[in-house]
Amino acid sequence: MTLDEARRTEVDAGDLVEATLSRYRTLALERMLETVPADGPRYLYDVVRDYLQRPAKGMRPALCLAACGAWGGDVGAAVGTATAVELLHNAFLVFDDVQDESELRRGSPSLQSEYGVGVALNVGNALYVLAFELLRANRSVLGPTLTERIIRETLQMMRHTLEGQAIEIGWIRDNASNLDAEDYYRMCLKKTSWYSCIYPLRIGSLIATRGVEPSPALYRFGWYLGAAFQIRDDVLNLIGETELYGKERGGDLWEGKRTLMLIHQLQRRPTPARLDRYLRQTRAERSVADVRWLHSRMESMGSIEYAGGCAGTLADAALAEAPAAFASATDNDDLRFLLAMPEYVIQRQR
Amino acid sequence: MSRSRSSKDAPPDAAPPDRKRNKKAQRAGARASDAAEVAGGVLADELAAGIDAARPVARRLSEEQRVDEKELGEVVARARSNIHELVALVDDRMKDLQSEDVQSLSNRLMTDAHDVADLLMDMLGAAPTLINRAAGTDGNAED
Repeated sequence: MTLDEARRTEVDAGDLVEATLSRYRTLALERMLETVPADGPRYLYDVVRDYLQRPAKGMRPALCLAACGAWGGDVGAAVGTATAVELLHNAFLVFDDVQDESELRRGSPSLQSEYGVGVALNVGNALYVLAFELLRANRSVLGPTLTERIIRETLQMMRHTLEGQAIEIGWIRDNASNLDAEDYYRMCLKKTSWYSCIYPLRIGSLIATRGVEPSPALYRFGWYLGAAFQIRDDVLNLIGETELYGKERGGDLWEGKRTLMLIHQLQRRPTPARLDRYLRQTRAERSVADVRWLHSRMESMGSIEYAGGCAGTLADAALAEAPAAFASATDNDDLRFLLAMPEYVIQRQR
Repeated sequence: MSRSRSSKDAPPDAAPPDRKRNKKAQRAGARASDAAEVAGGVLADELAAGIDAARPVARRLSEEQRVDEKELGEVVARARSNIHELVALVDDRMKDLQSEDVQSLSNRLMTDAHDVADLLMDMLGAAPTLINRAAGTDGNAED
């Protein structure tokens, strides 16, 4: 499919994306629930089971399965891997909420808010174990070589994610204020884009082609898509409806997260004393009035608009990579779904 | 927008200053239209990081006649993905040049190339023990 053809199909793209996400989310959820032991301690597995059933988009398993389908592979053979991707994503969310002291996740209290940090950490670790058991079980479906390759890709992805998370936390701890867009993108590539888009797309393609290395353009497609997704997420944190968004509105401001909007603010010299003081405070020390002031300042100085513009530019860049990234793929609904994703991620409300 | 930054206040885990300095002037900017260019450069940096990571290993081998197993292991992990990308890049160029009747041969060659790259990386993983033993600097003997 050419870029022009992809754009002509935009009218139906929204429906296609929602339908594909729903279909693949169902497949992954079913497999996830089968994977959770039925007879283990209820203090662990009941919480795991409940957490996995919270409403979610299922973007990551959908990208993996659609990539497999787009390259003509047997989607059924990729379900275990796609399920592992979603389990790992859930583990990252649990740990992320502990680290950020977030209150809400997927419309309900975050795990540590509901059960305490101890239970949350156990659930996060259980999700890692379940994910790697699924990846190891791939041997009977994909063979030892491809299984080993996917595990290597997984470890590489986890390393990137961990490094990205460390950078973000380190910036807050050190009150880093001399940051620019490039710093943000480096953190975003590692923290979000690799595991959310690059990795699921690559392993979906590898499964379909039995290990043929995808085009380098797929890295770029996944990277731009993931960056647009994360920036939109940061924007929704400021302007989204809590019921749809599912997370604490303004949570990033409370946490002092170095989003593109905050970096945009920090680049305006001189930095107001109030902002300087705000960033030096801990989350508990920050006031509602200060959070509202910063939010208002971001609106009035165009920081939110700027971030939205960046997300749009990155979505366009992803689409521009598509012809090369998917040159050897098949023209089918899975490919059309993948081509519709850049527009979807910057329009989404949840 | 372009600003200078001292090493003292550089953000933790940002790109190495020498690599950043040259590109800063082109990439730094707060215009939304620059986003893809800046982000594209970041990905290229990250994929090239495996090459930078290899330098300390080469230096240690040259100066101390020994290989640090952990150091090399990290390089191998990073280099593996870059090697596969390099093979894929060559594959892309070959496809541009060849007619359809040799495509299957090209595909087979590329699959073999990826296998060889994996084998090479696996052999590299075993290299520190062999090299250190040959050089008489086996880390175990010093413990």
